[in-house]
Formats: sequence, structure tokens, C-alpha cells
Amino acid sequence: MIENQQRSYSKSKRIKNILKDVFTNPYNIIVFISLVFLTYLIIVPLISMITSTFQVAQGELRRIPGSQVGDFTLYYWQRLLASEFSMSTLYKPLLNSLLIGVCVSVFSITLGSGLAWFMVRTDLPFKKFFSFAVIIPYMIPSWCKSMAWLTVFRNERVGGSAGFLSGIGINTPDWLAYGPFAIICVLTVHYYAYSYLLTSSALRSINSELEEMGEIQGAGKATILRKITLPLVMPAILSSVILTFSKSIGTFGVPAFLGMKINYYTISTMLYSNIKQQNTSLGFAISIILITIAAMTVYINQKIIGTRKSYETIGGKGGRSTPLRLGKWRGLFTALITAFIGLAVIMPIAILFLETFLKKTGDYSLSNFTLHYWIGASDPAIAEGEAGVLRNARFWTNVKNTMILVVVTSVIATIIGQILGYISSRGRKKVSGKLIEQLVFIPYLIPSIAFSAIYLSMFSTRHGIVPALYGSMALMVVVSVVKHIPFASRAGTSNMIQIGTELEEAANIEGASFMKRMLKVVLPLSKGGFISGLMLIFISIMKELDLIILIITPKLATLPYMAFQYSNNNNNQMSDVVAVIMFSIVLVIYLITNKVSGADISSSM
Amino acid sequence: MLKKNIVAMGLIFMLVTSLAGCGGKDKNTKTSDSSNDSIKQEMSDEDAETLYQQAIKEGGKLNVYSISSRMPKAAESFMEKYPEIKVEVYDLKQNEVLEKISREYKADIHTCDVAHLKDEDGSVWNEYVKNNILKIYYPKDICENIDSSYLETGMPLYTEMYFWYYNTEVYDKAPIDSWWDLTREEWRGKLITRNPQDDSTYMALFTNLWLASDELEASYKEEFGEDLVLSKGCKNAAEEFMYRFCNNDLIYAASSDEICEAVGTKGQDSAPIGLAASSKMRKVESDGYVMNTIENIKPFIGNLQINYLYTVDKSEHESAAKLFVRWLMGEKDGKGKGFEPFNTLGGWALRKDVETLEGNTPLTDINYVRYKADEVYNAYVNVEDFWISLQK
Repeated sequence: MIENQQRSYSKSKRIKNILKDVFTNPYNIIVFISLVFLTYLIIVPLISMITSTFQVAQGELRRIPGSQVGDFTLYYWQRLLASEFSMSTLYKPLLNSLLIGVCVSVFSITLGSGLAWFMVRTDLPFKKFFSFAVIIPYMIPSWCKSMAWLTVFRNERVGGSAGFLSGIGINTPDWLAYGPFAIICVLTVHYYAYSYLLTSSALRSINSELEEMGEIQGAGKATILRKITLPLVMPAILSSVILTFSKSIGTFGVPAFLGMKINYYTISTMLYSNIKQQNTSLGFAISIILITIAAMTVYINQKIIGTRKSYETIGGKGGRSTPLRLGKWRGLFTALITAFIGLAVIMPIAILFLETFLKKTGDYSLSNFTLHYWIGASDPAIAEGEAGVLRNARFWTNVKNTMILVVVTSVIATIIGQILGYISSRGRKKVSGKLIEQLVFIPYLIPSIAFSAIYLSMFSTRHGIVPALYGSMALMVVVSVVKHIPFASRAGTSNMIQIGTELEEAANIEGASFMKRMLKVVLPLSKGGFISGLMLIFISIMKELDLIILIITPKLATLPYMAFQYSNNNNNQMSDVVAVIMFSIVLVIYLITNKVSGADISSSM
Repeated sequence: MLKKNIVAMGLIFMLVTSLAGCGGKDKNTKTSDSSNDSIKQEMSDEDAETLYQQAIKEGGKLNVYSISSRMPKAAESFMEKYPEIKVEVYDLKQNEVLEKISREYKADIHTCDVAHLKDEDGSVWNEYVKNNILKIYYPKDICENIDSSYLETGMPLYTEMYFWYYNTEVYDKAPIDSWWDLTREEWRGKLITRNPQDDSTYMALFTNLWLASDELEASYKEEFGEDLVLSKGCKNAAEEFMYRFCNNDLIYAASSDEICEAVGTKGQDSAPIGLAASSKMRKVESDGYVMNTIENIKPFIGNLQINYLYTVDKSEHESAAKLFVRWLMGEKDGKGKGFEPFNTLGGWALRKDVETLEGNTPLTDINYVRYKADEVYNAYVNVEDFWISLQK
């Protein structure tokens, strides 16, 4: 009995100590605050989505006789998972998506990290130009690239003007022009930027002494690459895998443009189609399946990383990097990369740019060239009297709105991302780290339009301490930040995982507070990853429309909204002008960031 | 520190519970087949000046949610005529307008005053008007000039249609004259359309064919000189048509623009024919396309795609909304500038006192079916399910 009492006493004391530790540890406080925010901003929308897949919507009263709006129902899940429609609306598109997801991941990781390795570790010539050019495809809207693809490979099937190859007498087969192959190629070119940026910042942080040691031990170049370099950049690569895989199964534009023509559906095109048809609940159910798949990839990733020891490459010592000599291969690789840039970078931009000067599309005679869509005054004979884009009274307001949204969002999202990344990396073996890593991923796969619809409800009126943000820029920022947190925190995680905990521990021993440790040790070391994360988000938000369309007001209109309005009104050239302007802004900002932050993003050591 | 965390815990709890309120659905929305006695065609005879004065008193503001990028132009001319009212136009897609309105309505926010929408599948009428979220304003003096059949389920701004287009360089004249032509082998792989599964406009067109299955059966006999034999799984002539059409190697496009590009681009040896919005006739001028519409198809071309105007329940600027509806309709005499942006090639005014634009075939010469909001709405899901079951 006494013994028992003692045990329980010591037990309670222990619990008390544990609790004390839990609540005074700054790490736990950060975790706690993050969980509060993530719960409100991610779990609540998710629950609202899940709930609506079990409730009868008004439109379904036709299909479920005798029911009332809001009644509990399994109709949507039954229709999706086990009905005569399941094969065509779920399983087949799902298989297509998985195929695309796996292929795009494999190709873009190979391409992206391969390019990163060339830019960072070798003596490739014109590195400055190359490393700048290879990031451009990500800045170009994906529909532009789909269009460029068709400009080359389009065959007779679809009609219209013949593609380049058909034009010179080579009739391209359907499988090349449309469908999975085309989608995989275009998406790879769009998404390799993730692995390029993440891997190159990881590579840059590796001290080449590690590789040289291998060389001294007599290992060949291939062995060094495989046994030393690759394992060191593995966290960055795995992060890219998750981003690329989830994004390519979740993206809509390219699969719609290149797949639907031959009735090739992916789960994302099916999802958007349902939402557009006001079959919202069915769309939500599909989206939940997507989220589940992504959660599994994150889980597998955690398993892989969890079983390995450590990837810390940013130690306290100064590193140096000696570029690897390519020798006789130098010319060949230079030529290959040049060709790639010509096809994937210059061609889509050239096509887009050219379109903006054509009075009538498709007519390339000199007399058809005009600056009207840029600067022309209103002329009733062209575009129903619409004046050029730069003369549009709303243009500068839209530029201003876009800049505010993009800058504020990307800075906030990146900072939050680094913090969450810190949690996930430091808590890699803890439940908290794993939980947050899973949580932050959810917004990635909630379709943008659904996401903003739910936020519209959540922030329309005051809920407790959450203010009403209806009709404000703040709401646009909140939505954009949360939607891009997966990005940001992936960049943050792969960044933080490399920073050795000993550095922090050393500072801790010296008596530096948590804040000081963060500001003086962690942040300076993570600058590289911070800026590449920032750029990824910046570029992505720049192009965002679906996400904010429901919460935008005319006064807060942005450039993508303007482009949408033009194309909606049949003024495709003006829409292209806006696209070119958006691209130019991104490009300029990118160049400035590059200059200011020195070698961090793209130029080599 | 501990205290802080308890406070924070409490906050989370508050957040979550306060939010529970915004996820739920309205229990008191009516079912689609409930009576619609409350929605009568009540004509209002307020004149513009009275409305204007009231609108100024209501704050001189107006918010319009529209599916057309031409709406800002109409708003500009409105503000010239009625300078005391400030109009904001939200340019959105159909599903976005509806999602936004219903979310805001549930949250008791009443930003939208006028909504401009299409309703070819009857869902706006059945899900929004019958539930009193959207209302219809019928100005008496204007409605007198509109055939009452167009006034049943909304205030009709103008109408569009969906036509089959053909390339005028490849074909001298319209290459088809019956829906059944589209099932012939010669059109295999040469028909470009949106997938009805992705676009309710197309599904609604098939629903109209489905509702007119008997006529379709008769025109089969006329076309082929024999009785139609139904394939396994097809319950009527319309389903048989969809089955054969769907299996004729269709090309699906992402938009009417893309369809017209495929059909109308100059210099093609063989071009597909494509089903697209009538408003794309403008592309002949703007993009130099060589194409024309096929305006005579048996048993009928299709249905009208009427663009409707609605006012919104609990709107704070009701008078301004009414005034704006009047403005868009061209005001009392139909000559007001508000209608001009919508009076274009491929769009038809439904007012008798507004002349059909040059280049448009008069509506009276086009063989279309009347719009039956309830019938289409109820049959729509059957047609949708049938179509999806055809996808392999």
C-alpha cells in the first residue's frame, strides 16, 4: 500500500515535471500555436467538406426520392465507389492520374536534380545563363506550354491549323499529340522547377570535402554521386517527390487541355468537371480521395526519412566546393541543355509573345502585326472597341493589387513554412512533427475553388475572435497563404533538416534564448532555402485565379483576373498581353532577388 | 506559461465551436417539386425616375454578379445616365456566381443586388428562384413587348443558341440537316464538341432531345426510310441517338473558342464540324475564320440559351437593382444604351420592339424548342446518368 502510494507520488511528480517541460519548452509552444492555426485553417474546412459529402444537396432531390436537403446520405460515396458509374468516374481516371503522377515525378526529379547537379557541382560553361533559364518554364502558365506542345505536335484529328510537324509532312500519331504522353511531358517541364530549386540549394550546402574524401578512398565519380552526394540531398529530393506527385495528380489545366480531346480523364479533371457542374458534393468526395493519396505519400516519405540517420550538411565549419570537371562530356551536355532551353523555355514564350502582336490570330503576314492590344486607343473595328491593355483604366490598380497580394503572401507563407519546417524536422521522430507534416499538406489537394468557397463562409461574418474579413485583401492573403503552406513548409523542412542540431545546442549551452537561436543561428543558415521557397510561392501566387475568384471584389482585382476577363470577352490577344506582363514581373523580381541575395538561388559557387 | 496555454486551448475550442455554425445546411429550403405559387409574374409599374430617387435614398450603390465581361460596359453607360449610383460588377463564371450567392446568403451577407445568369438546365429556377434566394423583377412597360413564354422563369436579357458550325472553304453548304447525320460513318472522328459531362449547356441540349424523343424517332424514319431499332440499354430514340453519336469517335474540346478554331481556321483540307455557342460567329470577323452556322437541322436546332436577370432576396439596393434591370433591357422604349453591349452577332434580343441585329437570322426563322425549365430540370439527371454510362 505504502509502496503503491510512493509509486503514485513519484509518478505524479514525474508527470508534473513532464508537463512543466512540455509547457515551458519553446518548441512545444510553437507546435501548439501552429496546431491551433492549422486546426482552424485546415481541419475546419476539411471537416466542412467531409460533412457535405454525407448530406443531401438540393440538386440530388431529383436522384434520391423522398429526401430532404441536408439529410444524411451515403449516396455520393456509393455512387463514387460502388455503382455502375464508378469505373468511368473514379477508378479509370484514378489509374490515369497515378500513372501520370509517378511518371512526372520520376522524370522531373531526374531532370530537376540532374540540372541542379550540373549547375552547382560541375564546370559547365554559361552557368549563369543556364541556371537562370532553367527556372523560367515554371513562370510560364501551364496552358501556354500545352499550346506550344500542340503548335508542334498537333495533327489533323482536331482540325484547325496544322502543327509544325504536320505542316512539314510528318503526321504525328494521336498518342504523341494528345493524352498521357503529352501530359507527362508538359507537366514534367512545368514541375521540374521544384526539384531543381530544392535540390540545388541542398547541393550548395554540401561541403565538397565529403566527396573528396570518397575520391581519396578511390571511389569513382559514379560511386561518389550514388553513395555520397545522392544520400545527402535525399531530403530535398523526397520533398520534391511529394510536391511533384501531389501537384501532378491534382492539377487541372494541362490534363484538361491535352487529355479531354481524346476522352482521357484524370481524377483532377473529373473533380473540376463535377464542381463546375455544381455537383459539389461529388467533387468534394473525389477531392477527399486525392487528399488520402497524398497523405499516404507523405506517410511513406516519413517512413523513409525516419529510418535513416541524418542528413545534416550545414555544419559550423566553412565549406568549400570544387566544381567537378566534365572533361570531354562538357560540349555534349552544353548542347543538350541548350537544346532543352530552346524547346521548353524560349519556344513557349516566343509563341505567347508573338500572339500579342497579331491583329488576327493565325495570320503571320507583316501587315497583320499591330501594337493595338498593348497600347492602341479604342477602335470600334478591333476587339469591339476595347482599348489596349496599358490604356485600361484598371490596369495599374490591378498591378498594384497583384503586387501587394503576391509580396505579402509569399513573405508570410515562407516564414510560416520555415517555422513549420523547423517543427517537422526537429520533431521528425515525434508525433507533433509527423502530425504537422501531414496537416500542412491537406490544402494542396483541396481544389482551389472549393477552398475559397469554404473560406468565404468561414470569414464572412465574425466567428468568436475571428474577425469578418469579407471583401478585404486580408482574406485573399489568408487563403493564398494557407493554400501555399504545403509548398512553403516542404521547402522549410528540406532546408531545416540540413541544419545540424549541434549548432543550436551549442548556442543553447552558451545561454542563447530560443528566439536568439532562431534569429542568429537557424535563420541565417537557412537563407538559401528560404529564398528559393519564397520564389516558388511568389511565382505560384502570381498566376493564381481560381483560389481567389470567389473572394475578389472589383476593386481588389488582380492581373490573372484581368486576363480571365479579357479571354472571357473573346479578346485572347489582350489576355496574352496580360500573361506576358505577369511573366515579365515575375522575371524581373526573380532577377532582382537573385542579384540581391547573391549566389543563393541559381548562380553557382 | 501554463495559464497562457489554457487560454489558448479555450480559444481553439471557441473557434471550432463557433465554426460549427457555418458548415451546416439550411433545413428549411424547399424541395424542387414544391408548389411555386409564391412566384407569380407580378408586373411592377414603377417608372425610372421614381426608382432613381429611391435608389439614391438607399445609398446610391449597386453590386452586379454577372457571367458576362460585357456587363462593365453596360454599367458605365448606366452611371453616365444615373450618376448618383455607383455600380460594381463582379465578373464570374456561372457556378461561381451561384456558389458565391448561396454562401453569402447563408452567412446573411447581401452584397449582390442583380445577378445575370443562364439557366438552360433549370437549376437556377428550381434551386434558387423557388427557394426565394433569387427574385424576378418584371417591369410592366418592358414586359409588354416580350412574348410571355420567355417570361416564365426569369427576366430575359437576351438569348444565345448552340449551333453546329462548318468550314465554308471545305463545304459549299451545310453538310448535315438532321441530328441523325451525326451518327453516320462519314462523320466518324470529325465531330468536335464539348463533353456534355463537363458542360451542362451541352447536357441540357441533349436533355431537350431526350424530351422530344418521339420527334427524333420520326426524323430517323425520314432520314433513313426505316423504323428505328433500339440497341440494348437504350430506352428511347434519344438514347439510341446519344449511344450512336457517342460512339462516332467524338473529339472533345475545352471551349467553344477551341471548337470554332478547329472548324473555322483557313486553309484546311478537311475540317470537322463543331457544336458551339452562337456568339462565336463574331470570330469570323475578329479571327478571320471561314465558318458558318447550320441553321436547319431536324427535328430542331436545340434550345434557346436565355440569359436571365434576377434581383436578390434581402438586397439592400432594391430600387437601384430594378433600375439597372430596366437599363439593361434598354429601358421603356428598348433604345436605351444598356442593351447595346449585349446586342451582338449570335445574340438575340427577345423584345419585339428591338430589331434583330444585321447578320443574325431572325429567331422566327430558326427551328428551336421552347424552354421548359421544370421538365428539363427533372429529366436532366437521367440524361446525365445515361451519358456517363456510355463512357467506357
